[in-house]
Amino acid sequence: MRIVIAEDNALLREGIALLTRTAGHEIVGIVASGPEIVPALLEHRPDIAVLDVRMPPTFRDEGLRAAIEAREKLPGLPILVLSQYVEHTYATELLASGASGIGYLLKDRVGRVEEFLDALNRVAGGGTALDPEVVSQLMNRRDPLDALTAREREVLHLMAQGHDNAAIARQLVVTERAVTKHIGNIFRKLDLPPSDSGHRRVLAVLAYVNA
Amino acid sequence: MKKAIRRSADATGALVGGLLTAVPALLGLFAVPLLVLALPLVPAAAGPLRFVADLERERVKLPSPYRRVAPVRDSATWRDVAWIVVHGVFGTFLGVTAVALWPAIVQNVTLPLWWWLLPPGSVSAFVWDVRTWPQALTLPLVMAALYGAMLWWLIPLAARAQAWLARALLGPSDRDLLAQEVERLTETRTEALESHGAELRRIERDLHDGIQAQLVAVAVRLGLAERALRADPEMVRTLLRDARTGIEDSLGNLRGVIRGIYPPILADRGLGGAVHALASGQRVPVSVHIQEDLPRPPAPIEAAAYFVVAEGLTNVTKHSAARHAEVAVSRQGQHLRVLVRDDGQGGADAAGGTGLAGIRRRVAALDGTARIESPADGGTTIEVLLPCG
Repeated sequence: MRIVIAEDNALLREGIALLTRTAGHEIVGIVASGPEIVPALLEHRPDIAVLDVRMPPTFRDEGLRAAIEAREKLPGLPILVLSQYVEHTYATELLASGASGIGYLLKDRVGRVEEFLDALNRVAGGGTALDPEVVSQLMNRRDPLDALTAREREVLHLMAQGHDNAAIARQLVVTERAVTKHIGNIFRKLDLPPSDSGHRRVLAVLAYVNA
Repeated sequence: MKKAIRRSADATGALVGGLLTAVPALLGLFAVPLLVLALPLVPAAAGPLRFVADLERERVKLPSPYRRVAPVRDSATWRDVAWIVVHGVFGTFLGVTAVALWPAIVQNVTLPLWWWLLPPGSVSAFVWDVRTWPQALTLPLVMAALYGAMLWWLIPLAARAQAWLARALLGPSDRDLLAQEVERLTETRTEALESHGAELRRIERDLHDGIQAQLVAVAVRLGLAERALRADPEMVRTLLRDARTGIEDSLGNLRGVIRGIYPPILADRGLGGAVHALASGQRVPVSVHIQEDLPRPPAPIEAAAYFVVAEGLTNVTKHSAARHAEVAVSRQGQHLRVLVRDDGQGGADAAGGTGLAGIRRRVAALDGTARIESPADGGTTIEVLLPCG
């Protein structure tokens, strides 16, 4: 994949570049400040952009603003936003540009190389990758999901992070059939519109927790 | 005419009211020399003096001027003494005079009607005996006019003078007010320093016991992994995984500490944006009112305000069973005012709850004030004022 990285901290920039290059991806552009992001994306048209939230010149949320602006100019451009901390409101703002091809993760997650690369691939492929902490924050706002069993809540949580059935089955160490059954129950109990498997289910769950 | 009578009547009322304190002051007058001698040795001697002076203060609605120093060193004590002497003498005289003038006028005006009923020589108008009709028709009326003039002019003046005297001697002088303010500031600054110190120690403990210890544990695992590299690759894998988990945990803790010092969203979005984000993260619907042209407060104030809202809303969600909550942030004079209110069950223990205690501590560290009301019949209000300099 062709990747543009926006990160002002040299250590982290090199770390992410090393990681993605090792995984066989190509870094086509590296920028270190907010105003450079959108022009770089317009110039390189990468397969995915990895953006830091807090960058020069104001060290506030320029990465986030750039992501939203870039999605307006290049609809569907996959963007993975990395941050030292996560805020559900930022997730909501990002998802407002469409949940497909959007990722929002804590920088900590970079350390779990396989999971990070999986998230990168997922987002580049039009999927979603939300940090478990964001999902927790989003789900906290909903009334307690009392109707769901503990296992169903786990499944819902993983779905909201953007995982497909196979990944959920792997993480919970259950069969895919069991996951499918849980998802069916969740959709019925939460009164979500039934949809076929895959990303559309994730979108339905995201729309639910992000309501 | 009606207005003048009204004015004189009011003044008479004021002076008669003054008798309530003037009579005790007059009686206490005789103890003044003793008091002056005893005061340096027995501070409690100021008690009765202050009691009488406080009665007068309550009557004319004056704030207390006393400072937290020995009475003998408090200038207010000596002004009390001056007041008790002046008010004891003049207050009593004026009160009695004012109240006596009214019947005296009635007596003199009606005198021509009944003077002849009494034995000759027993009726007088001021200094002259009334013995003849011409006398009876002139002298009392002159007297009545004189008394009337006193009531019309002197009594209101006396009442004003008495009120002025009370203000001048019993009210706090500018110096007193300044001294009181300095004492209050010294006291709150001491509290603020202590609270601030407690905050620093808490942060130090979080870093030292939490994150520092976690990183040491990680370093140990990495060291062991290095040693085991050849001999036991399986063990190395376990150690590396544990090391990574340890780092993830400490990163999580670090985020918590940073959030406690200065929440990053404040830097990103300012207090308004941060409060909106907090409100939108709650299960209970929260309406937010942020003053539109709110000037940006200093960072510590902003962080404390955020903390108050965060803790307040956490309490709403956890304990109140409220259906609705409200957050308001505005500038009030030199202060930032933060209000968190809910319509829940109330009864929150302002002294006991750790969240509420945390709010108090954090606000006190910045010399602010916190008012927490949570009546048993419902609703909780947290109102915090933080000085913005």
